[in-house]
Amino acid sequence: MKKVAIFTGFFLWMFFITVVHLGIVRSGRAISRLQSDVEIKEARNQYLQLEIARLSGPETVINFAQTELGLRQLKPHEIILLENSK
Amino acid sequence: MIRNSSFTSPNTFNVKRRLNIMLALMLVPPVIIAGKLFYMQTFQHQEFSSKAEKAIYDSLAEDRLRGKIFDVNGRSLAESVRTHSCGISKRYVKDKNETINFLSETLEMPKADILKKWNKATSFFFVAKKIKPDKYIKIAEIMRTPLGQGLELSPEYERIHPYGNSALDIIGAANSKNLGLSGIEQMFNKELSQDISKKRAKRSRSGDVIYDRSLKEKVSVSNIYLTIDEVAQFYVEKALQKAVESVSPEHAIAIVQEPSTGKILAAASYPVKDGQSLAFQFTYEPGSTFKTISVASALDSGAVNITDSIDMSGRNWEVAKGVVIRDKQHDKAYLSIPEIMQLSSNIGAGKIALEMTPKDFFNYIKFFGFGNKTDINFNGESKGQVPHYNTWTKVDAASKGYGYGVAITPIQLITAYSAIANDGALMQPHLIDRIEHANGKIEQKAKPVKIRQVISKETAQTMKKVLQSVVENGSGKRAQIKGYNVAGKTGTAEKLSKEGGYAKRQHVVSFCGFVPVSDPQFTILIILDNPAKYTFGGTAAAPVFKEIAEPLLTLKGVSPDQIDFEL
Repeated sequence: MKKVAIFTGFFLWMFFITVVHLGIVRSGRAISRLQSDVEIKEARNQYLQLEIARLSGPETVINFAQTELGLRQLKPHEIILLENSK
Repeated sequence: MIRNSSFTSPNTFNVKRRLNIMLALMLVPPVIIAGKLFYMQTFQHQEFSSKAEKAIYDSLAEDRLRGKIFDVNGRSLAESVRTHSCGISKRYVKDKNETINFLSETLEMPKADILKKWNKATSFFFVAKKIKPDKYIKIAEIMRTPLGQGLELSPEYERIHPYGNSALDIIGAANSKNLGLSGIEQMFNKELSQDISKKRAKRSRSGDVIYDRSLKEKVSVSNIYLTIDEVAQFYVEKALQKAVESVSPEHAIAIVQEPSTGKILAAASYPVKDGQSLAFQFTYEPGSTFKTISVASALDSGAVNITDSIDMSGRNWEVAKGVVIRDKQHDKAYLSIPEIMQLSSNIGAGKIALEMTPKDFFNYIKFFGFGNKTDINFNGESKGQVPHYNTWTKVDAASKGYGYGVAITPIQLITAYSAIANDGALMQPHLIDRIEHANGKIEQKAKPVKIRQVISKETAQTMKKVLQSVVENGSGKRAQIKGYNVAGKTGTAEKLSKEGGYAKRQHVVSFCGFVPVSDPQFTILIILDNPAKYTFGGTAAAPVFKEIAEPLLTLKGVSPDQIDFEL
C-alpha cells in the first residue's frame, strides 16, 4: 500500500507540475500579447505625435491661415505694441 | 476469523512482483531523462548556452535609440521613430502559400518577390524593412493566429524629420546603424547615440519574438537644442527658394544671426544636402561687402576720418604700372567716405585700404575673425584664406580694400557685421543652444561670449550710420523696410575664371546688413553664387534681406525705430 501511495503521490506531483507549467505558458502568451499591444499603441502614438508636429509646423499653419482662413501676414510696421506687452 | 499475516498466496505474490516490475519500468525513463538532463546541465552547459543564444539573437535587427534634435523652442527637427522589419522564420510557418498571400497583400509587395526571397533563404529572411504602423498593426494582429506563425516583427529606428528638408543641411544624416554621418548628427554623435549592442529577446514556442523591455530603461541618450528657430528658418528658406527661382544661382546661402549674442537663428543653403551647410563651408571672394571691413578698420586705426574726401583720380586709378581700377557708376572727382560706400566705389575703398599700413589692415582683418575658423566647429568649416601682409604688393593691399584677394566664409562675414551692429564687440557665433543629458542635466552652450572688441564703440556707431546711408541713398535701397532703419552693404564680385583672371559674366552677388539700426536684433546675410541671370547684389540679394527681415521683426515684435513713417 505504501508503494501505491508513493506511486500515486508521484503522479499527483507530475500533474501539479503540468498544471503549473500550463499556467506559466498561458501567462507567457498573455504577456506576449500585452507587449504586442503596447508596441502597436506606441507606434500609433509616435506617428500621431509626428503628425501633430508636422501640422503645427510653420509651413502648414501659414498655408492654412492664408488659403483656408484668408488671413495675411502683417508687415512689422502694422503691428502696434502696447506698453508692457513684451 | 483469524488471518495469518505470514501467509502469502502465490496469487498475491505474483501481483506484488508485477507491481514492482511495473514501477521499476515506469521509473526507468524518468531516471534516464533526469540523468541526461544532469549531464547536459553540468558537462554540456557552455555548448548549449551558446547554441541557444545564437538561435535567439541572431535574426534580430539592431535596435538602438537615438537622441532628438530640437530647435531653440523645442520643436523637433529630427527624431527616431520606432519602425519594424518584417521577417519570416521558415520552419515555423504553417501554410507557406497563405502566409505569402497575406504578406503580399498587406505589404503591397509582389508575391514573386517574397517567393524569391523565400527560396533564397535557408531559415530566416526579412520580407520588408521600416514598415509603417498601419501595416505593422495588421501583421501584429495576424501573428496571434496560426496564419501568423513564423512571422517576426523586429523593431528598428528610422530617423524622421517632421519639417521635411528644413535645416537638413545643418542637422545632417544618421544611418540605420545609429551612426551620425554628417552635420549635427555627426558632430554630436557621441551624445545622440548609445550603443546597446543587440537587443536581447526570447522566442516563444510558436516562433514569436518577445523583446526584453527592461533593457529599454538602460538606454541613455542626450537631446540637442539648436539656436535655430524653426519659424525663422522657414521664412529664410522660403525667401531663398524664391530668389533661387528668380535668378537661378549655382549656390545660395542665407543666414540670420542675433548680433548681441552671436546665436545663429536660421541658416539655409541651396542646394540642400544632408549636413553640408554652405553657411560654414562655402568660401568666396566677398567683393564689396568687404568694403565695410576696410572702411571700419581705416576709421578705427585713424588712417582716415569720416569727414575726409577721397580723390577719384578721374575714375581711372592706376594702382601700379599696368593695373588700373575703374569706377563706372559715378562721375565725381571726389567722394566722401559715406558716398564711397553708397556708390560702392572700388577706387575709394582701394585708396582707403592703402591709407593703412599692410600690417594694420591685416591685423584688423584677423581681428574681425577672417582667416580663422569660428569655433562653431561645424564639420567641414573652412577658415578661408587671408595671405600674410608680408606677401602683399600695393595692388594686393588695394584689392583687399574692395574684397578681392581674400577668401572668406559666410559665417565669418555675418559675425563681423554683427560686431559692428554690436558696438564693435565680436561675439562667438553659436549653433548649439543647450544639451539635455539623459540624467536631466541641462548644459547651456550658447552663453554670449565676447571674443574681443574689434573696433571702438564710436567707430561702430559711425559705421552704422554709413551703412544706413547705403540702404537709404545707395545701392542697398531694395533692403528698405517701412518703419525701420536698415544698415547694410551690397556686393557683386566677379568670380575667378578657370582660364585665369576674373570671369566677367560670373558673379557672387550678396547683401549683408542688420535691422533696426537703433537696437539691432537681426544681422542677415544673403549670397547668390553665380546666378544664371545677370544681376547685382542690390537688385537680387537686397530684396531677399527685406523678405526675411519683415516676418522676423513681426514675429519678435520689434518696434519700428523710424518716427516719421506713414502707416
